[in-house]
Amino acid sequence: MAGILGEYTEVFLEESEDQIQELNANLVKLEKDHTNPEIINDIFRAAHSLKSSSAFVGLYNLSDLAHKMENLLQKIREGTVEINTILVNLLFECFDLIKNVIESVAQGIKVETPFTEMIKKLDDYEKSVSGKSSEVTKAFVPDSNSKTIHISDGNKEELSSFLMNNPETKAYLVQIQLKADTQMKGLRLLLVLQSVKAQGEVFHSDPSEADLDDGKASNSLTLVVATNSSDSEIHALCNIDMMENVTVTPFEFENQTSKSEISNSPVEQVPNFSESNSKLGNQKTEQAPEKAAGDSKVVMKTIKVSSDKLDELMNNVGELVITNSGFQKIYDDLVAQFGEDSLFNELKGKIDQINRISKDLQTGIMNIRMVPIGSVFNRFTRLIRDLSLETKKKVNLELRGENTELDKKVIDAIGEPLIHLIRNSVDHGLETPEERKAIGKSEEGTVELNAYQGGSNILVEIRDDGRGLNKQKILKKAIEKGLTTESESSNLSDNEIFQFIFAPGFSTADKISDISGRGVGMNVVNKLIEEFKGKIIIQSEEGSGSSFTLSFPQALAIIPSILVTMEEEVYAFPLSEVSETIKVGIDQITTLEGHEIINLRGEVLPIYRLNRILGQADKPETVEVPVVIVNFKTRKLGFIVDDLIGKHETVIKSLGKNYKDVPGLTGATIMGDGTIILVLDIPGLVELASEKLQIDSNVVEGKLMKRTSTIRSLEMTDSQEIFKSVLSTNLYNEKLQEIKSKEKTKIKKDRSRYERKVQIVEERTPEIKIISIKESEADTIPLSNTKSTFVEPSNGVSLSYSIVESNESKTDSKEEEIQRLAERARIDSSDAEERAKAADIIKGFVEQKEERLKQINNSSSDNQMGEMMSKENIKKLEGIVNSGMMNAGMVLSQLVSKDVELFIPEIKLTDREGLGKDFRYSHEGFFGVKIRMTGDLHGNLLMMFSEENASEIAKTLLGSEEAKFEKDGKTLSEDMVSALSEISNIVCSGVMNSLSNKLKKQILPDVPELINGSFMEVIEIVKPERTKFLSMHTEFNHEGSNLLGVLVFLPDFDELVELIQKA
Amino acid sequence: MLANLQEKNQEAEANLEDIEQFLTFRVGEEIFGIRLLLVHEILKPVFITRLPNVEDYTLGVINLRGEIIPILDLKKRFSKTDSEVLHQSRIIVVMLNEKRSGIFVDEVKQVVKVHKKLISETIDDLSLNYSKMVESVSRYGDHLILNLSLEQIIEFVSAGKQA
Repeated sequence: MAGILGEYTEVFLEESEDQIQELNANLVKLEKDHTNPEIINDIFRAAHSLKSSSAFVGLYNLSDLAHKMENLLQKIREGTVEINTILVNLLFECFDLIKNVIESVAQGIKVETPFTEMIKKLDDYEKSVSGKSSEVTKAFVPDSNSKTIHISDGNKEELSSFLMNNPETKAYLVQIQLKADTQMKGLRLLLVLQSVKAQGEVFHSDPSEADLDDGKASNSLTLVVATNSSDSEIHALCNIDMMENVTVTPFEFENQTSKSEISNSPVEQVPNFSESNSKLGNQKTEQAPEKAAGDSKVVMKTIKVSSDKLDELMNNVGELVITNSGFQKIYDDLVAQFGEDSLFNELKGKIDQINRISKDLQTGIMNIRMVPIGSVFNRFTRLIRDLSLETKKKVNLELRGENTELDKKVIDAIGEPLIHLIRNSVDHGLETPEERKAIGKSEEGTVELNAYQGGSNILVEIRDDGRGLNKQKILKKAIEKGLTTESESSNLSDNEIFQFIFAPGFSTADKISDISGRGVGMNVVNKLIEEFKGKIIIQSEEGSGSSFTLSFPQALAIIPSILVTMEEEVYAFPLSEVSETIKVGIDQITTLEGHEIINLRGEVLPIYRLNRILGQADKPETVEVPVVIVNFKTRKLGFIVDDLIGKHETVIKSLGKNYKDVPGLTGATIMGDGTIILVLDIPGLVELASEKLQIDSNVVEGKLMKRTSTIRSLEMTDSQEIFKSVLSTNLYNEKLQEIKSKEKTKIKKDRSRYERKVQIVEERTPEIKIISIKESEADTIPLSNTKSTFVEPSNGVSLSYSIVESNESKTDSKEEEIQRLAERARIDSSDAEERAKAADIIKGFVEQKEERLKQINNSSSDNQMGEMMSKENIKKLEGIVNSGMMNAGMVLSQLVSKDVELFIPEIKLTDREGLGKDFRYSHEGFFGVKIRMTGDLHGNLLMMFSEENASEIAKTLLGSEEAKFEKDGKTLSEDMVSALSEISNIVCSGVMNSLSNKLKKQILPDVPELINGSFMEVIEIVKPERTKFLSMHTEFNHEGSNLLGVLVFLPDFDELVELIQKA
Repeated sequence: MLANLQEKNQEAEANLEDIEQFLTFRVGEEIFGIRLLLVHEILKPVFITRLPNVEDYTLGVINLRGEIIPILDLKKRFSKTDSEVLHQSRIIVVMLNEKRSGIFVDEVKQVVKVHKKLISETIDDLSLNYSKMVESVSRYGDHLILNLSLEQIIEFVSAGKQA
């Protein structure tokens, strides 16, 4: 997009802004040091550049002004115009005008007005001074031509007569300087001489033509020529390649004589002057080409890059970091699902590597945005000069640490606040020269700007040696304005007192000057601090001076944060602001003057309820609440949140890009799984909080709604519903969730309907699945059609399954069954060893199973079950609980370090009595642990240990000695109890996990309860509410017959049916 | 009806430049249109992350392939009643001034081509409570399509400048 000046607008703006800054800075330097030719050259060069570049983009008026300036500067260079305040001011005026034009251009306005007034002023001044030829001419001749011009008298006479005879001609003094490394100097100068000769009469030449012809090498050439060409024409003639400097000035006889007089007679100041100047000049010639070379070297090391490009790059790298965390999450999920694997380890290694590289990339790119603060500092030299003139105080500005780098955004924004601070220092801080003298200080006050790195922060310090801050005055004003009270004030530290000056409109100035005193400046500073999450530290000693230190955190893009949940919304507190996180009992929150506070280790902190600030409902009271303690300015605050999740590295995206800035938030970020996290802005929150206190906003109601998010906190209880505020968005999400789940079940129903069509159901009598060994069993099964098949897995382990179906006539589906169960067994055991174990286990108890079958077969309640659950569902259920039980068996065997065999359970729909019948151990003594199931399925899991073995088991777990009975030898000791509870918990969890996974629901254990007594007694206690219930149980045996325990699965029937259907 | 209109269009059709394309959709009982060039994509409803302390018609933000865009409830914007989420509801993602945002509507209908002659600027005495957001009205067979001014609806585009 071309700017208003065409495609080079941007380039012009950048360059010219730099030039103007340089001009200003240099002019100030020049004022202090009139004799430094280098500075003048710099100024000249800058003006010259400005002239040509403004002409190039079409700002001709600017170009004209610059040209005029150039002329004046040239005169300064030669020494025909001396430097004084008037001149300097004039020049500053010019600079300001130019600056205005540049700024207008930057805003899209092309300024066309000719600077006639200014130009006239310059002209006038020029005329007024050019006539004077001061005795002490400060000869700024920058080249070795300070060696005086020896024009012979003879030549002079000739010249004057020539001039008289040819009135239209003028005499010029031409001084030419070649670059140090020029080749064939003599030849070039000769050429120049000859071309000038063609234009006029040369009356003096140094070195002479003859000399040049001889090959005498010289860096410079001085000519006196009379010609009717203009000086610029002569200038152009001489300005050939490799010219360092060409000056053409009107040749004045008088001047020349005085000059030559000076040169001939050693008058005090001047010869010294010219000598020293010549030395300087000589040095200068050496320096000048070097400097030029140095400049060009510097220029080549940098490239100007548009900050938009950088922003885009930063954005992409940010995305990279986010995607990386997505990888991490997938890795975690994989491990959770499939267990550890060497391949996964490799993956993790690569993920870590990429993480490191992208972090480095991000840091690197952020560094690109870092700009040395020197560019900002240089602006202030001019400011100080102006200020000291205005206030009639003598101010010395010292700059340090110009190379310290800050992010460009900060650099751009820091200018204004620094100006305010400097103004304050000069206006209020520093005393007048008389005052200073009176108290013994140097007449000149010092303002020091210093930038350096401190830890992970960049610090910018403004220090003055003035009169310091008056604590009392500030305090008084603060109390006056109601910012604090008398009583509180005694507790405030010095820094805290000083911080009051940041309050809007705060000023202890007795008089408001044009510069400061309105109390606005400090507020600007404050805004900057807040915007960039910086801090300001004020130190001051009355009489000695004050220092204001701004500190900014270095990295602005990746912000580590603490994540919290509010209902189901995730918010992030930037870690740099967080002091700590604690749990606070509700009773510890008290109210003081309408504000809630807590006592934190003796410190009183105000505490805010984040839910209210965010517009959420108040939760039903809990005993304890988590609180995040943050640093706010110099105080600490607490925010009550719903839950803490943990730490997270967030890459902040601005909300303003597509939307707008929301109060209370600095932006948003995206988690690895796509969830949006809103990042909190602490000052914004505090402001909102105070607003909300004042307005009586409508109270938001809340109710239980279904969960839509998968985020879980460290200790959140997993329930299907969560308390949420009744707000449009929440209602929308809930409705959406309903629709989605309906769609899901619809899809599943369609699918299962489709599947059912494929299967042929012949009879509705219930079938029982039996697993038996080998062939012989077939006879013992009293049920109708039975068949046995064998599955010989290729790994040599004889896993024999034989499945008997009452009404299955298709071998295919049976094969399927076998496959399915085999699959299940394999899934739950990942290596051959365990599979072998599984095989043994199955073998081990199958015999026992059969005996019981007989009992079961006769139960009439089987029919009922058949009615309530379809065959298919039953199969499903058995399969699922199968694997659950196997899991449990595995776990148990590991726990007790014994081989455990278990029954594969079958389903029983029965009533209480029936249940009793099933268990052959009905009247033996048992220790039972009942674990209630909650979540998507309710019911009980009962883990029972036979008395004989209970102690054995406990001993194994605890490590022998502790597992003792109480004195009566019967009751379990506490240790035993806990050991058994532990085992039960683990085993039951195994079952529940398996169930949860397979049903894709959440089934969680509740607190275990110990029951003691005979089997029947135990069952009695467990008895479910309904008279009919479904049970599956299995026995854990060791070495065939040694009963370790019994696990009974007693779910809520209806719920189970529902779940199975959906699964 | 469509055929009807197409005929009419063909009659009035001089050259392509005189045709404006609109995406039509329904909010409540009204049919609205938006210039097709502004439409970026159409999504099925997704979970929205709530933003605290914003206008009541801004439902929140969503993550659209890495970009965070706001979603506004058009029904709420017009009539102060919440939208119902139904299986035909959609989110229309529009782009204005390089800012993307989403509009929640009850049903997306079709893309229509309307000859400019059939589009008339809104008459001031159109006493709809959202009349200032309608920039023109098109005749579409028997229907009136109220063409929305995106700038007016997505106020936060301009509000953002003030913020």
